Amino acid sequence: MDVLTTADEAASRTGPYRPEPLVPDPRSARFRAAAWVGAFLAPAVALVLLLLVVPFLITAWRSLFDDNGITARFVGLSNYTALFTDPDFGRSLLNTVLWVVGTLVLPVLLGLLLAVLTHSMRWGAVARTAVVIPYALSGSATALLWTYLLRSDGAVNQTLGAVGLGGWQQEWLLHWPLNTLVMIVATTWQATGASLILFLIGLQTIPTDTIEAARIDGAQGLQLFLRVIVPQLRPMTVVVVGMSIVNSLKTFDIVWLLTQGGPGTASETLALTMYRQTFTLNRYGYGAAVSVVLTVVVIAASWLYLRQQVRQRSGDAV
Amino acid sequence: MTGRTARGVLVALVSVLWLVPTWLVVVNAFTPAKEYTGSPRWWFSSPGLFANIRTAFESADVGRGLLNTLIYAVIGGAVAVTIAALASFAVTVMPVRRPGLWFWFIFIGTVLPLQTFLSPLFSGYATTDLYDTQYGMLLIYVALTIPFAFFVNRNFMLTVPREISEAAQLDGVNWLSMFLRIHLPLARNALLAAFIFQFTWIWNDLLFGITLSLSPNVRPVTATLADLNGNYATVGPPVVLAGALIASVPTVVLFFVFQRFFVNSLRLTA
Amino acid sequence: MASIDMPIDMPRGMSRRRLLAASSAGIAGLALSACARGSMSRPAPADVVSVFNDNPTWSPGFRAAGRKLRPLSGFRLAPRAVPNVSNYQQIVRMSAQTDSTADLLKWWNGYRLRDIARAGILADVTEAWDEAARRGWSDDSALRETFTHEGRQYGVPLYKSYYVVFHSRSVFKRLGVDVPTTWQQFLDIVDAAHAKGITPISSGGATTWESSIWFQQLVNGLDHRFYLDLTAGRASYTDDVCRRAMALWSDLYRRGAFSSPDATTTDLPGQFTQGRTAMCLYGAWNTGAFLDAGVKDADLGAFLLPPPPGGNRSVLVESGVLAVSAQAHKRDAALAVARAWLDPAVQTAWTGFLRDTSADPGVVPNVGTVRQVAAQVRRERPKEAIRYWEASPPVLIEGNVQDLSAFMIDPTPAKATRTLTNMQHRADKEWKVWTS
Repeated sequence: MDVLTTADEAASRTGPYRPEPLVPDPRSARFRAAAWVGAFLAPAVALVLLLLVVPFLITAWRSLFDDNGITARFVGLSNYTALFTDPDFGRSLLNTVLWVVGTLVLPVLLGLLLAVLTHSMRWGAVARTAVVIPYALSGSATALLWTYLLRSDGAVNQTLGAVGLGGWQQEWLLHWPLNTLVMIVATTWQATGASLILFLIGLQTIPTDTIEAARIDGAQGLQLFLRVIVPQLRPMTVVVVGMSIVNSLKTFDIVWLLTQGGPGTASETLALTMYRQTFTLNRYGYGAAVSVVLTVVVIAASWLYLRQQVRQRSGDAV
Repeated sequence: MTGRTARGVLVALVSVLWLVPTWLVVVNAFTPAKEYTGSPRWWFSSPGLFANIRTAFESADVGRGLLNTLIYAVIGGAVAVTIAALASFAVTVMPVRRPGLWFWFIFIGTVLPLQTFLSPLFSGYATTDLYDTQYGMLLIYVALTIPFAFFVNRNFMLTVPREISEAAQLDGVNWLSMFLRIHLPLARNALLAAFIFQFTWIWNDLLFGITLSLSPNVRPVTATLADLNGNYATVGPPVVLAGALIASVPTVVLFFVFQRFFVNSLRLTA
Repeated sequence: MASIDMPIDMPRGMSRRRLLAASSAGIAGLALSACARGSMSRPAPADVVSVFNDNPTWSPGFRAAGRKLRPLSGFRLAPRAVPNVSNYQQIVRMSAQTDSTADLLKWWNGYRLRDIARAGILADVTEAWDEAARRGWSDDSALRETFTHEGRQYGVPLYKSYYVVFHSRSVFKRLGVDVPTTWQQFLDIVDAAHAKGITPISSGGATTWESSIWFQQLVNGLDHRFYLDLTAGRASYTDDVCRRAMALWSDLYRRGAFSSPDATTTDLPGQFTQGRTAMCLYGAWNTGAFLDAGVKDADLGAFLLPPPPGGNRSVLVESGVLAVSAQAHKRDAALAVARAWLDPAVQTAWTGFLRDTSADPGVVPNVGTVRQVAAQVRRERPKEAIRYWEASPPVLIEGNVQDLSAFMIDPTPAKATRTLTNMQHRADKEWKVWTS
């Protein structure tokens, strides 16, 4: 039905230019259209299905078992009840929320600001390079670096001591919530480059006329930014914010490398809880339950954010 | 005028803030392994970098790892972006039933936590004989990078005016040539950006590298470098940093080279 | 409107694509033709047995041992290493169900070994222990017990390492102190170092297993019997000995004995050489890492920590496991290797590489520090206890170690009480799970 709707719309909208009907037999046309669509969609759908969705479903099934990685016993939903009564789960959820909020505020906002500020600036390229380099560094180098900076005898404390701010010295990674906050800063350092680039690409799609028109209307500086640039950037903002929500909910690497979720379980996120349960404690079923819960949270969050965007058809974005 | 100065100062400040940690990485990769005490250095103590790089190459097969990673990142990234472009064309331009559903189905690939895949994938790879093979690695990297590339491309293609495809359709152009001649060129920058992101992602992946491969001729460089940084490593952090620095050069160069694509149209300039 | 730009953009886009496609195809061809399959997962030659392990740096050692094994068992060793410990464990578990590419595998003893042995993925190697005892290579019933599940042994010892206090001899000289023989002398060294601005003891563990090192040392040092009961689930973490151990630990912190809890052993060699740290309680297996990182053998000392007041001479022992996979392709060959593993010729080659002590007390590598430890053990015959990491069910240990890490960050008496209560609470729960 949709197949025809769009074609009809197109035909009626273009009114005066109405051409000869494209295909004589509607049934073979429908089949041909479906075959085209299938050919375009199939590779992506098949790969995602086979290598990502099916493994996930296997894990989800596993969450119903008491599984030590070698032998398994069906236990129904008891992994889930154990999870929801675990006091560590609340902390882990809270940390995950901190990550979502923190990475929305810092890398996304900074990326947007830097993209707009450096876009037409003479030395902009230098600043952009400075911000983008960390994104290209590998995780292990980043983790080593931030260990250097944040350890008790690390660079940050050394510097604070040297400039007479010894009172500000902290055991950055050893106390909650400070450790989560400084790790969000470390992520900001690494991830801002990505949102910067995406926003730069978005800026290119803004028609010059729109900006000029706004300029003529007297919009300048902040006003121009808020009234014209931000709304025009919307398609790219959706990508950046959407990815930021998803990635922050799944935060794992930097925490694992810097604190391993510790001390104790203080800085654990949901992804770390899942990893520790599965691979450190060999409770594969319990870990699978955590990952199912985490997945539900991520899908719910991205659906809440993206449902409006997905309904939009191409015409609305113009 | 003051606004411009304030902007300049702000941008300069941010640049310095960002460069300080990068500086530390470089300087400390120069520290001779034997002088390392855990406290970072702020200035080069000696030209120890090359000794460290040599140690890295001798202790682990970094060269072979780099070659493997190059294969995975270039081919994997390119294939993923191509497949994602096809799919995003399908859901934005072609008359697909329930495009939202298809969007979610592919998008869900980025949503699932990576650690979830490890155990089933390992078992699957072991039974299908894909474990520890280069095509097995390529396959998983392509699958993992499709969803994000798809998301970027789809949202970019939404900005392509619908009239273009409608006009082409009425001219009787088939879907493939419409895709190749209109949408692919238009989305060039978004595709390139997606490629660079996916290239970088594959380049820096460690998790799947150490789970699904074992042999030096299959393992990506991150897994090779992990040999230096394992729980019983003996070469010391400066060598690890030096190795990581070498391994990061290609991605940094890539960003440099393609920087102009992200800012080539300075339309905002008054 | 935008369609006007198209013809201009198109040729550029096309040619770049074509270039990209051509180069991709080229690399793909190269990749798939030459070496798409991993060299390590191809079938091995007939006289080769694979050793799956989590330590890439051990590979030369395994090869050296393999050269000595060849005439004894008929087989060489081909090491295959996964550099990450949790990944390694996971792969062993996962491949146990499918098809094992590894004949021999490295594991941990005690309850970690029992954990997988009772799942049936390891082969019985009791015979190897019998043979070692018969030939006089190793007859160590306490050690053998930690390789045992239901009366049978499921692995042979890779090494037998003692927990000792490493120290920098030059720092000791500068402080004018000698190796301590009593707890008080040890405390004097701590105070002397602290007064000079030298970190007395490097002790990490804020986020690692290393937080168990001082706990096990103090509990076992105060009462060896109690430590054994505690780790076997027969005594409580809230008992007096544990409370005294935590008080001692807390007191050492108050004296300024320890580094910040986020110290790591990779920093230690430089700290020793530069005279910034005096001591570190650690497994003797770390000797090789010290020497490789530039500490001179002559400057590196090691001694067994004297027991705290009221305690007894005892030492913590760590031992790696060489096990035979029940699903091994070359199971018989792997069993033959396990039988020959403790032969002095093999042990000499292997521990010579490792620079650590062997389960065969007759084999001691030619490294001053290790010889010193071996001599002190021979002389004093301290009671030996398995280290905490392997001494109880893994889930219990992992949780308790996290509690101990949290204690190290806030080493106050109040926190000590809370920590012990938590640990006992977990012990009650996890022992039930283990025996169920």
